[in-house]
Amino acid sequence: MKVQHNPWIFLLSVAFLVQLCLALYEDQAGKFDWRHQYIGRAVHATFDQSGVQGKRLLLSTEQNVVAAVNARNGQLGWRHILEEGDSGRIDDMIVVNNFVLVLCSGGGLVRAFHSISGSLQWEAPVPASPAQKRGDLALHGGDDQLLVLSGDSITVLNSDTGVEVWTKVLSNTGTTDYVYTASHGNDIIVAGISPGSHVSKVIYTKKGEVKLQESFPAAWLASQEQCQFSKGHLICLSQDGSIVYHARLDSNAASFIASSISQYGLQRCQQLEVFSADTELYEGMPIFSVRCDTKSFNLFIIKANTKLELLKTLKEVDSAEIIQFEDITVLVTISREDGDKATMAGIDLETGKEMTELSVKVHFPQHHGAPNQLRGVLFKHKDGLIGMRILVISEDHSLVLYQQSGKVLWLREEALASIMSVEMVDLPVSQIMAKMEDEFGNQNNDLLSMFVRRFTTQFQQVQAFILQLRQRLKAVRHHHHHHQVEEAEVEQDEEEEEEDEEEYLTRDDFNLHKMIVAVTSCGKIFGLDSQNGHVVWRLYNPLLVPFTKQGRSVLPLYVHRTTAHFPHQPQCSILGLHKTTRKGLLFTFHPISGVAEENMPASGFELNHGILQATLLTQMDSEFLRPLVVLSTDLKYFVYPREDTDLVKELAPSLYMFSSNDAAGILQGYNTVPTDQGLVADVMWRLDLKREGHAITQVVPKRLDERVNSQGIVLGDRSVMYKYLNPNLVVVIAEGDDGQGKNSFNVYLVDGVSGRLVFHCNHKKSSGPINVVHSENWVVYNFWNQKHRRVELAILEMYEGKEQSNTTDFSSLHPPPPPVIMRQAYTFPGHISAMAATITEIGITSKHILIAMQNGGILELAKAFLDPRRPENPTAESREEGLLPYIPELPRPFEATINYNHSVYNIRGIHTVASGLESTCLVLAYGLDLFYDRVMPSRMFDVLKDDFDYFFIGSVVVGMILVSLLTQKLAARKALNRAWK
Amino acid sequence: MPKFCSVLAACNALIVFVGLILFSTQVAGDDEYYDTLSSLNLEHTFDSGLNPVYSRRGVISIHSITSNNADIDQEDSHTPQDITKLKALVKSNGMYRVRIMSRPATASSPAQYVQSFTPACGLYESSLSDHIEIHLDASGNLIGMSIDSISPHCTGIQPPSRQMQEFNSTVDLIQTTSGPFPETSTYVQKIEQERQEKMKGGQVDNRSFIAKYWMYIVPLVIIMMFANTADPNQGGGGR
Repeated sequence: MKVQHNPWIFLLSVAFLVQLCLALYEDQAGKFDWRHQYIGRAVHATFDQSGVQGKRLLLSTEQNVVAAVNARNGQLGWRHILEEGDSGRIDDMIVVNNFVLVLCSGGGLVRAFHSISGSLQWEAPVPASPAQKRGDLALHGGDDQLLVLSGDSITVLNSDTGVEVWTKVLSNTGTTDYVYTASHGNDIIVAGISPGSHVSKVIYTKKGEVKLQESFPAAWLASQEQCQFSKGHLICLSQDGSIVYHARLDSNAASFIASSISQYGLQRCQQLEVFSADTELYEGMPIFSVRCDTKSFNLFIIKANTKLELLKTLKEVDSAEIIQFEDITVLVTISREDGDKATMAGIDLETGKEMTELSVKVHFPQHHGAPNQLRGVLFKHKDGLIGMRILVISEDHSLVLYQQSGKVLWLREEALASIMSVEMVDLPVSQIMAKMEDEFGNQNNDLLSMFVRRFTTQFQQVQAFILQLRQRLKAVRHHHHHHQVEEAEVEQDEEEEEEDEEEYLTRDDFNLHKMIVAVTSCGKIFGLDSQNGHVVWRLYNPLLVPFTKQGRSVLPLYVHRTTAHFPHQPQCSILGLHKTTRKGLLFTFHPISGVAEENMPASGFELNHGILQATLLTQMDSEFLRPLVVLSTDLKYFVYPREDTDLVKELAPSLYMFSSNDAAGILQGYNTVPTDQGLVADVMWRLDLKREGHAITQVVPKRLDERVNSQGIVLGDRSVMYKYLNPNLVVVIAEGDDGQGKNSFNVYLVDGVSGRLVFHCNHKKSSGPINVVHSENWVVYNFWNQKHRRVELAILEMYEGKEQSNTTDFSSLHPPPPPVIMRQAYTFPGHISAMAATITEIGITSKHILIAMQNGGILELAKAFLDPRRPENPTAESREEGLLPYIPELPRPFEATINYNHSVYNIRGIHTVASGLESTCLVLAYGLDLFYDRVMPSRMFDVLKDDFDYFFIGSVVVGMILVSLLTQKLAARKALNRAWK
Repeated sequence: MPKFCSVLAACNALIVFVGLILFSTQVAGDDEYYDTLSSLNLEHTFDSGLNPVYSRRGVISIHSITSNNADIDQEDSHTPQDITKLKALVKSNGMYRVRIMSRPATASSPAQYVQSFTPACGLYESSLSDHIEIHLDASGNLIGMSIDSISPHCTGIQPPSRQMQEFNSTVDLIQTTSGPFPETSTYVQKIEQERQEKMKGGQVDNRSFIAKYWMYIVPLVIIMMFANTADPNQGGGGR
């Protein structure tokens, strides 16, 4: 009998799989989803010198990316994402002979990419350096050879093939940090610094023999950051900024020559910067700059007779660069001015005169912060005039390319590659709708005045509608008109677009169109249109920096008030630290318009202490604002807005918070005690999760906005098993290695109010990265099993049992009996970088889990696959319940990859949010790239399909009515006839 | 287990030996039922507000973690003044707090405690009856505790003060379990078993594939035939 059952089981599982697979039709690609690719914060940037000059920009970034960007339109030519973390860290980048050479000294590799195609040409192993030591690259022997300084050795590679010529281990590496290498004629110079003591240098011959090894005293030198290396010279600035030291390393018996800067009338100098100018005039003469007395920019040159000479002093320069073109050497500078403007200036270094054709006022918005780096190319127009292209890399990680006319050619907001937190805010309703809501919001019950108000609002609505209609008609006519008119009216067009934008940024019928508010690590805040990902507004607060929580930096974003409470405006705030004081800083803004709160200081509200914990209250104040409660490091509460302190005082008996001391492994909970000095936290519970080598790495609460409508699940025998739905439950993960090289981690389920340990389990020989999804009555987490060398996913599901203890209200202080924890684990074929659960408005749609994988795919996996009740041996009951039989390996169907071939990399988080449609959940995956999509876990059950046949259904309905009428007539006639008989 | 041993003492020795090898901190057999593995000092406070003063309440003796065997000795746990304090705490809707030292003080760090609390009214109305859970990790270290009074909801009753003489407590030990792992081996066994059954069954039922599954194949073929005949018409329409 059993044999005969098998095909049925097979068919059943096929049927299930078919049902659970959600694929995309070809024509749907890109309809609801979008992807943006970024490269991150640029560290090294060069214009490609091969082929057409300045056609391509070659960049390497903090996010371990090497990329080529088209200089005409700012689009990515090619991009390589190297290993994450330290092993892919790019220490240096050199562009030579169509090759982009990068040194990843953490991983011990030099890689050469073709600058046009981006293909990997060669890869050569070099000794690896620890994290704190940076390697250096230099060219030697007419660009044929590459000098690589990494891991206490100097290696010479053939720059065409990557073949090693020779390698030598440096001596005295324990005390000296070798950081610079350079070619000098036939020799190779390697220089190192022993902070507070001396500078060492080694000169090698072409064949790798030590020609000279010596060190000379430099007791004043505290750190290598004081020094720069250029053209065989080591140039250092004393710590008080009054003396410039420089030494020629290519000569015998080198020593520092001190020159006081005060002889040039300069004081308190800092920011030593070197420039490369290789024309004959400056051969062998390094040029460097220092900033003195805040902003004055002073350019020095070290002449052949080791004399220092002041070339030029400029006021207020933010960033500068020397560009060579044919026989001229130009110093290009940029300096910010008031009101979104900046001045770019070009100065001919030989004559010292400003080149008027290169000096221009450019549009440089305040939200870019200070320009950090300039890169440029000069070229000759057909008419013989000099043209230029300037790339500005700013404090906010943005890349802006300017043309000579000062026009912005393109802009890349690379800060979006480092998003820290995201919220999707509902757009406001249109004006007409808002007026209607205004009427309902009023609590005046006078009948006559209500009637008058109703009459006037409706009249206004009609008026607004007519106006709108007229505008629209006008706009259509206007657009036709525009086709004939030339660019002169572009500005007007832009204005009109803005008007359209306002109209455009209103809520749609199903609330699918939202404003994505993204906070990035540099303190820049973006408002993105969820429909296409375009930046709607930007705000920059350079003083706002992330704080550390569970070993990772965070910059949480809170939505105080949504758009649902018209006429009260929506409000969001970001909690971070002040860059200099390291105290808490709260920055409040309007999430739709992107305007900072009016009565807030420009940098935000500053707290008196650091941040221990912060939470939004679920209760709203009289203005529908949810106050933010911040627990500072001195265990005092800070309430924002200040006026709500009384409300929090009222709620104090039921306000509990907890914090974790991650390194000490202590988790402790507080209640709120009103005292004379305001609200103070008092320790109520403590857990000691400290184990040898373990640290708390994750604390994952439930989402506050999640709603659960099914209190239990119906079993095969028609009884109900109730879910354990503790809203205060928190998942705590402590991981580490236990001293003997064996990694393990523990999972704790803790009630955040009472501190009760609901469940705890440990995984031996397992390590992170761990991602946790905590939703409803279940927890899903993934980890790496070291013993079996595979990724595993585990699920814990909590049930109260067959009876529910308290059906109306949950209290952590009077908890139900401990829940039954069901658990199961699976292997997952792939590496997981982030996970999230879908969420819908009412919570009746089934849940899916979104898994961002390291290969760039985002998998949508049905929760049914992660059900601890999946039976090993299916019974009739389990089949009736629809439980899938247990298979240890989770499927990874390709058609369930929601981003099809739009791979996204280094995903750090997935943000899901409910739309107005119960079937639809909006998803934003963020990391190096951004990907936005809609997912429908139970398919689109509440919307008719695009290809719904209205005509057919309509004609059938009409036909049915006709037929029923006809038959009624016929029946009546027949009945009459019969009666006559 | 003892029935394999002829001499009780030898059995004990064997068990202790095995215990030493496997888990140096765990008790292996029933024979050592009443040996104390470790004892924990339970402290409590009836104070409210910041910086409460803790006093000794009793000692929890852990006999066996695996069989959840612990008892609590709490003589002289409190004074009549404490009961007055408790009443005040009930009146102010306060919390009763208990703690146990988990790590003694060292030169570099102060002593660490695990701590829990329960509404004072519940404890008062249940006449000092409570339930204590002690949570231990895999190697038997204390990680947390929780305390619950027997009556969960406060009704405002006044229990007679003679019932307030002594705490009436139960203690449960909960040890970390090991997390779930994929049941690959059992699954492979199951598949293997099914395969063997199939092979056995295959000897009995050695009809051909078509003979066995004709009832699925015939409808499929018919459907496909219909689909095929429908297609050319559509193609014709397109032309």
